[in-house]
Amino acid sequence: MNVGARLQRLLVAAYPPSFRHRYGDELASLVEDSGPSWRDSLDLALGVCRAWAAPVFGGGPAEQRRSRLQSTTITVLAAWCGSVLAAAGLAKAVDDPPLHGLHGAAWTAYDVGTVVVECTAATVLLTGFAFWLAVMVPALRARRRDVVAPALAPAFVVAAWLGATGLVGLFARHEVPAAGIALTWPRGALVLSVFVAWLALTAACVAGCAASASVALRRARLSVTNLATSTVVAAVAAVGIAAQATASVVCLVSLGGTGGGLDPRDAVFCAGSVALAVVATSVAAVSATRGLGALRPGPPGRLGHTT
Amino acid sequence: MPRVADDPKWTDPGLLVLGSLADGAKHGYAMVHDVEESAGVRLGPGTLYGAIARLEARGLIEALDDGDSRRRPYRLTARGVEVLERQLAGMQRFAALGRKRLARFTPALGGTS
Repeated sequence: MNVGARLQRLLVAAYPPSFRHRYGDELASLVEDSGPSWRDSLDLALGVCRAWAAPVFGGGPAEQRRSRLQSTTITVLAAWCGSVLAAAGLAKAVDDPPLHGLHGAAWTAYDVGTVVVECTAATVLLTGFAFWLAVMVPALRARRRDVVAPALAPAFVVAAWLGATGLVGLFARHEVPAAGIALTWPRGALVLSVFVAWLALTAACVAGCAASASVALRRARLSVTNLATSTVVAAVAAVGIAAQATASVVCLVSLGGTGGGLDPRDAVFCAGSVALAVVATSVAAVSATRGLGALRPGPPGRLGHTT
Repeated sequence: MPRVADDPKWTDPGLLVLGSLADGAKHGYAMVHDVEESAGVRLGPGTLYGAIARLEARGLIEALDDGDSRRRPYRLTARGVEVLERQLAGMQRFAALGRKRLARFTPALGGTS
C-alpha cells in the first residue's frame, strides 16, 4: 500500500464515530475503487473537517436526537479534559513557583479561575460517576465486555498516570537542584526531556480517558432521558469551561501588562495553555448549544442539518 | 476571457446526487461516474458522502439494504422526488428567462447569436 492509499485510509478513520459507523465501509470502498489521488485526499480532509464541525446524524428523528445528545455529552467531556490540561499548564507556569507579578487583577483572575475549575470538575466528576454506574451496572449484568472494558479503562489509565507521576516526582527530587541553582548540560537536557515526556504522557492519558469514556457511552446506548440530563450537565460544564478560559485570558493579560515576571519559556507555556482553554471553550459552547437545541421539540430533519 | 473554473456554479453536490438517482438506485462509485458524465463535475469521496449523509438525514434519499455494506445503493424517496422536481422546475424557469433576456440583449451589443 503506497503513501497516498495509507493517507486516505487514515482520513476515513478520522471521521466522527457516528459518521464512520454509518458510512465508513462505503466510503472506504469508494476510496479503494477510485485509487489514491491527492485531490481526493484533500477532499476527504475537508469532508472530515465538515463532518466534525457540522455533524449529520442518520436514522429517524428520535435516533437523530439521541445521536445529537450523545455527541454533545462526548464532545463537552473531551473539551473539559482539554480545559483541565489548560488549567494545569497555567498553574504550572504562573504559580509553580509563584511569579512576582501574580497579584492584583492577575491574582484575582487566577484565583477565580481555580475555583471555577474545581467547581466544574466536581460537577463533571460527580455526575460522571452517576452515569458511569448507569453504564456499568446493566453492562455487568448483561456481561457486555465491549462496554465494561472501555468503561473501566479510565481507572487503569489514571492509576498508570499516578504511578508515572510518582516516579517523575522521585526523579525531580533527586535530580532537580534547589531554586537558584542552574542546571547544566547534560543534566538539564535530561530533566527537560523527562518533564516533556511527562507532559506528553499526561496529555495522552487525558485523551485516552476521554476516548474510552466516549466509546463506553456510545456502546451502552443510554436512553434519551439519561442523555438529556447529561446534555444539561454538559451545558453547565461548558459555562464553567468558558469562565475558566476568560479568567485565564484576564490573568495572562494582567501579567503581561504589569511585566509580571514571565520569562520567555513560561510565556510560551502560559499562552499555549490559554489557547487550549479558548479552543476548549469554543468546542464546548458550540456543541452544548446544539445539544440544548436538540432538547427542544422540532420538525424532523432539522437535527440532521446543522444543529 | 475568464477561465471556466471561475464561472458561477450551479453544481450543488446534493442536487447532483438527487439528479443522479433520478433514473434509479446507485451506489457511491456509480454516482461519481454518472455525475462526471452528466454534469462534468467530479465529486470527491468526502463531498459525495457529506451530501449523501445530509440528504439521507433530511429523508430525501434512502439506502437499500442489499446485504453489501461496502456498496450500498441509494434511491430517491417520494420527498426527494418532490424536491428534485421543484429544483429542476426552478432551474428550467431560470434558464428560460436567462435565454430570453440574452436573446433580447445580445443584438443590442451586436452579439453573435
